[in-house]
Amino acid sequence: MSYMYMPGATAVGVQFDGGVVFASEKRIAYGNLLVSKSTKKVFQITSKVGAVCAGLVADMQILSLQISALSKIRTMEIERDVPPNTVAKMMSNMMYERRYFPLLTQVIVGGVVGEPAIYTLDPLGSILPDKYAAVGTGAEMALGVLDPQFKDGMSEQDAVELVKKAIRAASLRDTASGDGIDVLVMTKDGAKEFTEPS
Amino acid sequence: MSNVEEKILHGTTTVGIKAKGGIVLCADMRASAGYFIANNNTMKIQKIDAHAGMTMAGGVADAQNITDALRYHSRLYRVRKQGPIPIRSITRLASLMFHQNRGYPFIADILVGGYDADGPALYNIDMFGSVEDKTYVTTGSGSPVAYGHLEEEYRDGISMEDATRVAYNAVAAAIARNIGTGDGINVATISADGFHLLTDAEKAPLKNI
Repeated sequence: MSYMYMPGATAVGVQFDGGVVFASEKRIAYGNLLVSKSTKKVFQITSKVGAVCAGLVADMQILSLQISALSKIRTMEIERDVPPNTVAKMMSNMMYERRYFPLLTQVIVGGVVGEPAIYTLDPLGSILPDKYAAVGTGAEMALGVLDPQFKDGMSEQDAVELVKKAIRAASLRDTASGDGIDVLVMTKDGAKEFTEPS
Repeated sequence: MSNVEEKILHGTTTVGIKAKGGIVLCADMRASAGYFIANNNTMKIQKIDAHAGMTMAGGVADAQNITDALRYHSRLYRVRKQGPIPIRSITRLASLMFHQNRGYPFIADILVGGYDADGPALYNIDMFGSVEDKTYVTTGSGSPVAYGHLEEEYRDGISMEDATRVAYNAVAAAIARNIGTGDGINVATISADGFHLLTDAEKAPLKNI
């Protein structure tokens, strides 16, 4: 029964020269019913670190809210920006704490404090570093685009085009994904967010 | 729950060999969820302390948390007792952690290896907490294939150089015949000189075939 509330999604993250870019589609469907066409699955955690999620919407919202609060506290403690690996570990701890009643969400978290970095987390909180990643029901389709086209040290413009292409590919062939693309770009100068039709 | 279990990463081959003067740990780099390759650059060999390391097979979240706990306690021991923790103590700690979660086990099968006052030591701890002292061992979905190679090539008193090559090629064999295993091989040695992860250049001459 719980799978009814486990909507599909496609979310990707890509590292480029000087930052990271996240993108997701905006559809929420419970079974065959399209519940929302305007769901935000990309999150700014801090001004330098962002995340993108696939899975149960409530869980990803609670996770991002709680971790951005913890990040603010941590920023004051260490008196500098919280690096992405710290944010990833905080998320991992929160998710692993609930191992017996997991947060049903896969996360790509990353940002740029010094060098750009991204990590993927599974529902139990495993951390795997990546240069580019895709999660959700459309991950296979998105990786079909990312795997051959990703290059080390891409420009911001190329990276944004690549993530849009990946989400578009997934939206075309995954019924659980679609209804537009949210993009979040994190560079050392801060975050940029915009939406495009798929 | 099955939805979550599908997303947990499985499929691995890890090999450990106790040789003359040290331990060799070896593992592939694939993290898969069912037929899907979730990550193709996974570090399944982890340094616990200067003289100890481990390999992980099974659920990545569980294995990473066990790694964190073992690393924490090993470093705490070093500060408190002014010396390296015995490998059997790390193993006992891991075993207790597994067995305390007997009701809802950590999905992991780990090798703990290292070099302490008694020389090289290698243990396998399974998901329920059983401990076995090993001279050579392999875990994960590709272990039947790797054992085929190990049983043929391992001999008592094997040198570190030979053990490194045997371990590497056991994982190479598993990559060839086990679909849960692939995407490259990591090798680490632990001797009196400490933990050393082999570079690409050091790994290049290891391949037999």
